[in-house]
Amino acid sequence: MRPLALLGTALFFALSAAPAAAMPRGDDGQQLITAAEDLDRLRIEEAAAAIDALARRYPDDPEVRFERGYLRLLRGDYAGARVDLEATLVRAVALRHPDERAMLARVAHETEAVTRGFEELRSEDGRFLVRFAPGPDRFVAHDALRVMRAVAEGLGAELQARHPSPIRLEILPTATALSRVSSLSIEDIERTGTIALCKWDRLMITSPRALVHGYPWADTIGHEAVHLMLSQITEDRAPVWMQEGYARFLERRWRGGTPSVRLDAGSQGLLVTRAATDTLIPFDRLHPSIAMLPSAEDAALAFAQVSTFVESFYRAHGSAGLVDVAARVGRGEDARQAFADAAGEPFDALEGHWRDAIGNLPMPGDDAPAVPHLELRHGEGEPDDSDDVVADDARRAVRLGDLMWTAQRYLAASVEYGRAHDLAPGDPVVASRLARAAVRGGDGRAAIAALEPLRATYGEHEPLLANLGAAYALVGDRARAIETSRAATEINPFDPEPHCTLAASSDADDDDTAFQRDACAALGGHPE
Amino acid sequence: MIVGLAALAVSAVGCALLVGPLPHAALLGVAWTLVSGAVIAAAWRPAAELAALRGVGVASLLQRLDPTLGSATRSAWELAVATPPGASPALVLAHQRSVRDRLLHLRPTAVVRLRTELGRATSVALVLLLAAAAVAAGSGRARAGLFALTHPLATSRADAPTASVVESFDARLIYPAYLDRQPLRVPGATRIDAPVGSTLELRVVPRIAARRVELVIGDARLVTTRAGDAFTASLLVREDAPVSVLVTDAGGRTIRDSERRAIHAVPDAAPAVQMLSPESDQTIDPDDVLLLSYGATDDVGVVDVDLVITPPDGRERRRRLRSASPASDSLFGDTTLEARELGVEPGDRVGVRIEARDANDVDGPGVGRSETRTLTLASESTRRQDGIDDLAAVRDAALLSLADRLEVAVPADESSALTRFANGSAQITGLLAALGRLSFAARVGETARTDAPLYAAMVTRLRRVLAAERRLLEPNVGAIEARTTADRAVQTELENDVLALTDMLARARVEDAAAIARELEQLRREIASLLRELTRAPSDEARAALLTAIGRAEQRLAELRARLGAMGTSAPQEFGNVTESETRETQAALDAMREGLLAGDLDAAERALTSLQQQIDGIARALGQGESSFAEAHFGERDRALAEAMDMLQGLEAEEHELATASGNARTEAAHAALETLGDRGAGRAETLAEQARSVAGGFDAIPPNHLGTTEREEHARTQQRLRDVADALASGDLGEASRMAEEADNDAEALARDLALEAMMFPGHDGETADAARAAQDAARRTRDLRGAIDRAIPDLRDHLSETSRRALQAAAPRQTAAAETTERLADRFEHGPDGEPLVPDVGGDLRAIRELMTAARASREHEEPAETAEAEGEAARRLADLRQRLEQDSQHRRGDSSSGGASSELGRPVDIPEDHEGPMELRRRLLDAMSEDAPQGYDDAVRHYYEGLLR
Repeated sequence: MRPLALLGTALFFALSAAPAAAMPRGDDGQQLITAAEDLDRLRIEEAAAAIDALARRYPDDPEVRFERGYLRLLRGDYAGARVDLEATLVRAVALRHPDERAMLARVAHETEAVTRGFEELRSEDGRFLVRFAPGPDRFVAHDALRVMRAVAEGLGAELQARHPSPIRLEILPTATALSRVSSLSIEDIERTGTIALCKWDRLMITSPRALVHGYPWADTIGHEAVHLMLSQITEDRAPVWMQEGYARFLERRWRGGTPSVRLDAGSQGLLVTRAATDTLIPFDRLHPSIAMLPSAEDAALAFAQVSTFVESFYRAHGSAGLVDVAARVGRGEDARQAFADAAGEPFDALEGHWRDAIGNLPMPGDDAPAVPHLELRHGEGEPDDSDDVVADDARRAVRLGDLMWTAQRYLAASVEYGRAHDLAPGDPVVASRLARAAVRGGDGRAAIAALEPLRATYGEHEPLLANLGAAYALVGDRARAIETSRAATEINPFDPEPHCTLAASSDADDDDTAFQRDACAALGGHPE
Repeated sequence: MIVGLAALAVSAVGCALLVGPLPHAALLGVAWTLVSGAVIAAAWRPAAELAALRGVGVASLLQRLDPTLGSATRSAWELAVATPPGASPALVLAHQRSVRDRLLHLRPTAVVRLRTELGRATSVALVLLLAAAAVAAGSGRARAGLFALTHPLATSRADAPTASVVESFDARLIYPAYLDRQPLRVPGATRIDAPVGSTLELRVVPRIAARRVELVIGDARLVTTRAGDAFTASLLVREDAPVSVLVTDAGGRTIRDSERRAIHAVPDAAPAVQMLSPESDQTIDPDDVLLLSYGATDDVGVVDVDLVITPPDGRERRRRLRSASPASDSLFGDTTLEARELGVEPGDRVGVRIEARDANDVDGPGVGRSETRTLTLASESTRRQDGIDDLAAVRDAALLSLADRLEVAVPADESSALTRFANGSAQITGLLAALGRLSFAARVGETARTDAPLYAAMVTRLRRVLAAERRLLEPNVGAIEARTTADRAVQTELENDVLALTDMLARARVEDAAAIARELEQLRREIASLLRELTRAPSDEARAALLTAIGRAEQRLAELRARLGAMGTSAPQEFGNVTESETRETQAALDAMREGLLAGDLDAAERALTSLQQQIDGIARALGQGESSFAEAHFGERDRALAEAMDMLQGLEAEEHELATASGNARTEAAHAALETLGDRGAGRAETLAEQARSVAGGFDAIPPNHLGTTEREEHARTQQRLRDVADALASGDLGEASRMAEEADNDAEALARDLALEAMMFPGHDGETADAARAAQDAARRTRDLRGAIDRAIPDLRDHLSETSRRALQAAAPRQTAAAETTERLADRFEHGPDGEPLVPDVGGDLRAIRELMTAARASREHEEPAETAEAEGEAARRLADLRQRLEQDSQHRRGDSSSGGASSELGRPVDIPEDHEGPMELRRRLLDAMSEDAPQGYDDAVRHYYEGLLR
């Protein structure tokens, strides 16, 4: 029988039975109840002290063991959590609903199975911990530590809060793995592009190699970290729309500067259009998760709505306003009321300001790109993105160019790519192909000329960034080469090209340069 | 130094002569005292003279050369060590500088006259040194003494002393007879290299008075025989071994000789064999006669040369090519090999190699083998591959021709323009010729209706644009603008041709893979037939034939894998992934079948056969499905449950198929037995059945002949003929003949239905015509099966003619049928109640319960020992299970292919669900649609349109 079937059978019998409850008596019992509430509110340090003490006094008490299992789950000890939760699933009936018990036991079971054999990277100060599957994900993990440091610093300054150490990040190798350790189905993930989570006091992202073109995983860590800190500040009371609004608005804060929303052209078009037709999604409809919305467009619109709302509030009330709202929600105030009280005006008025701000956004043109859709990778083959070229003639020329490229006739390929570029100058796939050929031919300026105009619109198209970085390196602009190549690795760290550019462009003989050199060689690139 | 060395050598050799090989410890002490004294005495005086030269004493050397320099040097030294009070530092410095300058101009040899200083003493010392060396070399006692002096601990050990106690150790090497060499003497041997099988005669002369001498060869001890002063022994060389000599002296003490000796057994090298021709693997035609050239060399001599042929069944055959007596150092020759002699079928691969044996009769013979050449008997498959290779070569030629034009812009100057045109036109001329060959091949091949006009159109268009370009260059070079326009036209044409040829290449590869899959299916049927034959009448011949068929299937599978691998990016990746998984499973099924066969477990082989059928179905689906992803993330709870249910269904199908086969065999056996006793009394019962047979034969007319390939046409014709034979036999009242003919018709009809079903999976045809034909064939096959059952039932009292073995087998398998029925019930429940309570697939539960009823009836029939009823019920149950599985799998494809619907609508309402249409690889379709938008040349519009429509279908 498969493990899942075994677990299911165990759960069935466990939950259908109703044995006598057990619970420490008197003050100890009250302590356990308080500790359980603390766990629910993510006051983990407070809960841990009480549960550890109770576990010493009542080592076999099912309620105590169950809470200890939950605590272990939150602390990342999945094997211990699984043992405790499964052992007491039947008997620990006093504090938690059967559904919740079953869910926690399943999560512990699956998480232990999925993360068994994972490797770990820990920052020198022990504050950040990254766990990942052995193999190429180490290239994500290495950079993730750098990102997590910057994220903690940026958000700490913005939200006036500090999350207790360690902050844990798990890089899951596939979307299926993410589905197993969460309540999301594969369909939810594919439909809405939800490929990361913050739950049970840890960040979980899907490896960029699980997606055809990678994704902005570094900003995603920033996004999930906002959830982590906001959950802690509000004791997990913030509603989904507020969580996502804060997270999307602050997700790039770690890069420095004043936070702002960066909407892709498709999402902005959707927001403006739907606002004009008064078909925006009510904030309360976002419960229980944006990942549960019916389509990728709805998810994109929801993110655009809540993030621009928070931005609108921030413009008027600054960081202090955001901190005030979070604190009020943490004290139990309704989120809408908290915004209103912090702003000193009714929520309807805030909503009105926000709608006015949307009205000031430019209406996208007909040629605006659609909402970007994250495409999961199936099989091991290299995807062919020439299919994404919309213009028929350009696609034909790209195909001819690819045939030439495969035949190692690079100059001829560049001629065909040039023709394709003439036919579709705004297409990032075509421009990237042309730039690749130009870089190969030593003409960095031509590559920059093809790519730079598209960067604002297609800033998350990794081949564009990778080729642009190589082009800048070719013309001797090291600063831009590093900046652009770094941006490329923050989307698809498995493309060797940007690592090679970073290794070749660095003057320093430090760990990062050695890492980039290693990544370049290990991923099949050709270091200078 | 030399004097000291000489003293050491002379005293040491002298003492060595004095002490001999086995001195007492005290004597050794005295000897070393003497040696030390002699060395000290000899070195004393030179050392004292050297000591006098220390510090300022060195000035005495200068004194002899130049008294003023010696004095000046001495004063400079003294002033440097202790400057007198009041002395002028400047003057001291000037004096030192002056001395240093003078010393710098002196040659060292002028100061130290080595010849004078060392002359006489050195000469004497050298002479003594040489004399000591000569004594040591010439005197065994001196060497033995030296060993004793330098190894006092080893020599003085009480238990097993080691000393230089062997005066001489000589060997005589007698080679094995096959080497035909004279014996060799090896005096003073320390390492003896001897061919394995040689005899060694050893002669040891001890240095001391010896009572006995033993030789330790590896782990063995060899006692020697005294012969005067010497001791002798002989041994046969088999392996490498160290040799120690143990000498027992007169006092009974055994001393190990200090010399290290060893025997190195040199193995005889196998003959070096080369296959000189053919130099590489070959594809041969059935009428070909192949020239095989070979060469074999050996130091011992080659005796025989064989040709070894390895056919698909793996059982090697040998043919003696040459024998040499006496053995020859080298044998070269050639022979011919007729393809017919190989006894293989088209597509089979045969390994051939040359083996040579040498004359080594001691540990041999040594056998040398050449590299193995694989000969593939030309088949449709190899011809298809040749066609694909030709097409790929033409596409590459077009690609390179285009690349050259793209890379070199049209030049302005006339000379460069003419050169560029000459190069470009030469390439295109070559391309035209290649296209012409493709066109010709297409006209005479099966693809005449589609490919030939397309190639011809390419040729026409290329000629036209090339001629236009030529007119602008010959006889006079035209304006650059006009030439650029003409060049662009050629480029555009080449671009179109490259894309079209690439599409055709992709299509050819997919069709090729599909054809191999069909060949696999034919082999599966052959295997099934052979397995039935083996079950009925076990024999070595039947087993060998079955192994050969399995070997062939494995070769086809390997071919399929290779072709899929060669597709590269011309097919969607998922296609490759899925088919790889199917081919792996197919290989596993073939392995299981071979194992079952070799272990004598025919039931296991039968089960593997069912699995093989399912895997071949899977390959066919994967080939037809194209882009649809089998490996898509169907890991939801419902999908898992469905997958598990499908696994269960497959197992159930295999089990029921096995039961049905057994009961069918029992029925046929009983029918034959009944007919033998019935004689011509059954004639009266046959009239109505004859009419039914004619009606069934007419049913095959509903299958449109234009959708049948060569094999299918043959099966179609054979089935109809057999059915006519059935009718004739029934008309004449010969139920026995009718039964046999009905059995053959049933098998052929089944084969036809399955071939068409596979064809429909891969290429459903325009408007689903092939799928219609497949449905018609399945209907006709079912009616044929019914007819066969009716004929068998018409034979009375089958039960009475059951053999005891069959009777017991029917009864024994009844519990299995019960278990199958119970499993079917559970499976129905699973389909009706998915994890969320909703049915996994609607209506399947009902179908399964109907099948369970058949199983229950079959069980009852088994208990009543009714072979006809059992076979009929079980056969029908097995058939329905197979149908259901196929329908579910196809339904699953439909649902995956329509991701936008999001529902799980089932199309299981139809009795037989062969896909009406299928999604080809989307990328290919899109590119084809792109290509279709291009204008066709005049006169070829229809041909080109039909061609593309064919591709899209």
